[in-house]
Amino acid sequence: MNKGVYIHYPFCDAKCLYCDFYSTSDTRKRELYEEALVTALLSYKEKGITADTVFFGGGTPSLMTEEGAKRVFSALREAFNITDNAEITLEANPSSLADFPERLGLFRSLGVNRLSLGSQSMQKNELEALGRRHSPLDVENTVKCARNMGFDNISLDLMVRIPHQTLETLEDTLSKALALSPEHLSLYTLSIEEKTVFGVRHKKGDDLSLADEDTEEEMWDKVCDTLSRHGFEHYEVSNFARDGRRSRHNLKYWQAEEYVGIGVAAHSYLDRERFYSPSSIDAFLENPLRRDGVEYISDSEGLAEYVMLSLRLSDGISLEKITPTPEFYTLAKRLEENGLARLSESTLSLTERGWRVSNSIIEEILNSLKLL
Amino acid sequence: MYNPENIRNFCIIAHIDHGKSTLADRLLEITDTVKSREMEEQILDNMDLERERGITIKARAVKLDYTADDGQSYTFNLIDTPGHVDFNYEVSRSLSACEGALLVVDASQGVEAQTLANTYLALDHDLEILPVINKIDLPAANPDRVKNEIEEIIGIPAEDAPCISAKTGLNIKDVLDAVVKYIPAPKTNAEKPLKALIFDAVYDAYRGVIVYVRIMEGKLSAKDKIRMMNTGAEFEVVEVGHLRPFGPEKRDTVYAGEVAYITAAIKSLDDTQVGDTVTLADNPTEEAFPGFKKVLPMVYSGIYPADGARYTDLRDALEKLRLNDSALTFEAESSAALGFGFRCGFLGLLHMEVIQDRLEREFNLDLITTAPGVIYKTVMKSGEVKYIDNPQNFPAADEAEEICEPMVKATILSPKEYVGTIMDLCQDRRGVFIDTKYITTDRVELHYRLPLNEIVYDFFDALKSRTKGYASLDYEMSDYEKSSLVKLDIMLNGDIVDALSFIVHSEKAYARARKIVEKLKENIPRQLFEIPVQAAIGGKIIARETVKAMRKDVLAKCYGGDITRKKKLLEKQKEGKKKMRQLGTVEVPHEAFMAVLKLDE
Repeated sequence: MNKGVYIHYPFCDAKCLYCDFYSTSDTRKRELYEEALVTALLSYKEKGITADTVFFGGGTPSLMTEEGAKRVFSALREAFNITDNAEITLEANPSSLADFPERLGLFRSLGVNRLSLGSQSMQKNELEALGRRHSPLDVENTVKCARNMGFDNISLDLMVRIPHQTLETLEDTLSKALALSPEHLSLYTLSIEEKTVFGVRHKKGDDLSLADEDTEEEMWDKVCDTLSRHGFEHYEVSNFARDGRRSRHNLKYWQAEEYVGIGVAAHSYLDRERFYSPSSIDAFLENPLRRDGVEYISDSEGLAEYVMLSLRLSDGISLEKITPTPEFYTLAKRLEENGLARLSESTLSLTERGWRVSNSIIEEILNSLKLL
Repeated sequence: MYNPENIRNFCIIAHIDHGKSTLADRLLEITDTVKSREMEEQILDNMDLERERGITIKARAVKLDYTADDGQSYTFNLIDTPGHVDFNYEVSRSLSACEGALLVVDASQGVEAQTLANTYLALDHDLEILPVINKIDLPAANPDRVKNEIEEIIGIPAEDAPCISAKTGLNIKDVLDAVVKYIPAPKTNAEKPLKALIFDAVYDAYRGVIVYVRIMEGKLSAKDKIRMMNTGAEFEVVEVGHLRPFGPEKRDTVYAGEVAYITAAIKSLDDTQVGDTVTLADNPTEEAFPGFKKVLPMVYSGIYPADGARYTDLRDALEKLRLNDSALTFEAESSAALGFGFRCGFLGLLHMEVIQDRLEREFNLDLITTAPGVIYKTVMKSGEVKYIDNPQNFPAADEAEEICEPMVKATILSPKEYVGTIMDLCQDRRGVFIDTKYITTDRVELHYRLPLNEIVYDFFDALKSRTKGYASLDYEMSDYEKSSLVKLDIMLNGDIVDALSFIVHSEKAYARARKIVEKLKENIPRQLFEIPVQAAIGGKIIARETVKAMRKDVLAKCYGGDITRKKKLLEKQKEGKKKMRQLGTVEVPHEAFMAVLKLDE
């Protein structure tokens, strides 16, 4: 089966206040890092892997140097057989930089056909509260610029429960985002992670001006209603697509398919093994081929992951792939009676309400299947 | 050198916190038996728990040397007594081993209910009572008022009572001189056949049971063959000696008038019950000491391991505790809700708490306990009489002709300003007022007849909280009385949770039911589905609350690198559930079981 390739670029102009992803604003090492990516990519050269999705994530991969980007793409195509219709996504931050259109043009010419823009909000004060460096206007300009260059598959990331966000500002953000006619939207609830600026503040008792739980629920209702009215399919817990433009790369994760991760701390799932590259830049530079945390995924673990991941999709899990127990059916029926799931002859999937308590449901389902 | 004229056997009687253990420390120190810097605080209380709670659970005895001002050497045997009502029988046996008692009274608190109960017990045993006024260093100390109280309430002279501070060591020598002067030497006859009273016994993993005795007549040496007159068990003595603060001091022979320990490769405490008489197998004394009784549990509760896999650990722990506590009883029981556990019998509430604490502390067990209950006497329609210690066996309304519950006579001592609130409490707990006595102008002694069922529930806590801790309670068993009792069942999601069932008076069932369902609602976290929490009597629902369904858990993104993290989260989530009990489809945290045990606001 065709695989996905994920390439991680950990450099950013500045670290956002909520982010606990591996990233750094130290850019001196960019060129060295790009070289290491090439080495890592080329190590797959003889393996004969065909990939139909590629995802450049970060960090901010749009910050790659021109020379580096060219070498990385060249190595990518040398190492893997990239299909003609491959989905090649680049994560980028909306930007007012003068050379930004040029950069987008570069990636477009290298084969990128999908953009994922970290827009987060269309409110100035909310973006500032998040420590983002762009403005709502930058988002609009960036999308326009990308459209002009021929990008016909654009995804916007938006956040729910941003400091100071209200139902009204959320509504405004949604309508401004929809006005840009994105093909895809990813909606995340801000989660406060321990080792972030927000985490530290929160621990000290700062409420960060976050909406309360009831409001958060109303916000989420608003998101689902609004997007559904605008023809978006809620195909994954936090992802919405128009005209079938689901993220093909991310679907591979959610369908427990295989993928190759290249770059610092990037995870791979290949030949039933999950592993990751060294998780500090220095360690990665030292040996880009090192595999850490190698974990063999047994049949039952694989099945558990399939259940855990595919229940995130509106398509749900296929009953053929699992071995349903009587306990599973009892639970599934109870979930259905309570409006948390849909059970058909061949699938079980969660409803909107079910997704909101999906951690608990997944645990119960795995228990009922004796997989946890 | 054996010189019975110079032996003084005595104990210390005091209310909790009035300074018994501290005084014991000072006595040890001043007699130079222990150097103070070597001494861990309060060495007579040698269980951690005792030290922390400031109470003495098991009696111990220690031999001290004292040289009086006249140059004579005296042997003091200080016998420590448990200070709590639950251990009344043990107290009475310890008292039998003494000729005198120091009555320690806090110079600011005055005489308390327990002090009174134990003093009466001591007077019953014809002991010479020596009042000692302690804590005179406190600003609130009023030694004259307290002396008056002692004379008025107890009726013994207190004019010359030593006024001391055990804490600072002030006037401790006065106490020692009073012991020499006022406490009589034992009446002894070492030529008669051996007659010794067991007042305590502890289990030692290496030496078997160590028996503590007061020898009344005769003498005892290693290799002698002894017999326990009530149990009939016989043993060959391995070792005899005296217990010193630093450990045992072996002797060839111990004599009448002395306090001694005996080891004889005894495997079970059942053979060496407190109150029994030790004599020589081949030359027995004529009559055993009167008053021997086997102590019986009064309060019962189910004890379950929070983690079902630790059932065997719990059983082993209970067996170990029983080695040292023959009053503890337990038998296996099972509950649909809690799995396998034990129905345990205790002398009283304190005893129960002590056992539960020790299980958790010394054996590192997490426990779930069920509401404490008492033994009900039921006369069935068939005429058969049954004693029921477990709500599971409580008869249905149409099966029993008559149900009786145990009653106690309670004595409550309190400053007068709390009399009203105490009367309200007692009335609320179905108490019948007997009488009230003003023992001084501002202290009152109240007598009530109360169902034990109400006392075991949360009476102590309620009394303490309503009187800011000033009131004290003592009770003694009275008799059984016919009563209108019902079994209250608690249902979660429609299923009865057997471990939460309990017996309650019919008039109080409704209020109790309401409180319990409220408490459960507060303590059961929201789950995927709505959970009805109901209380029922004989299938009829009398109270209901609902735990609403959970609306969200964490909605988080999940990409390639998050999968491992996500899996760990699920595992952690599952691990967290181990602190919960799965009852049918409902997860109940352990705290929920504990929360229903304390309902008094």
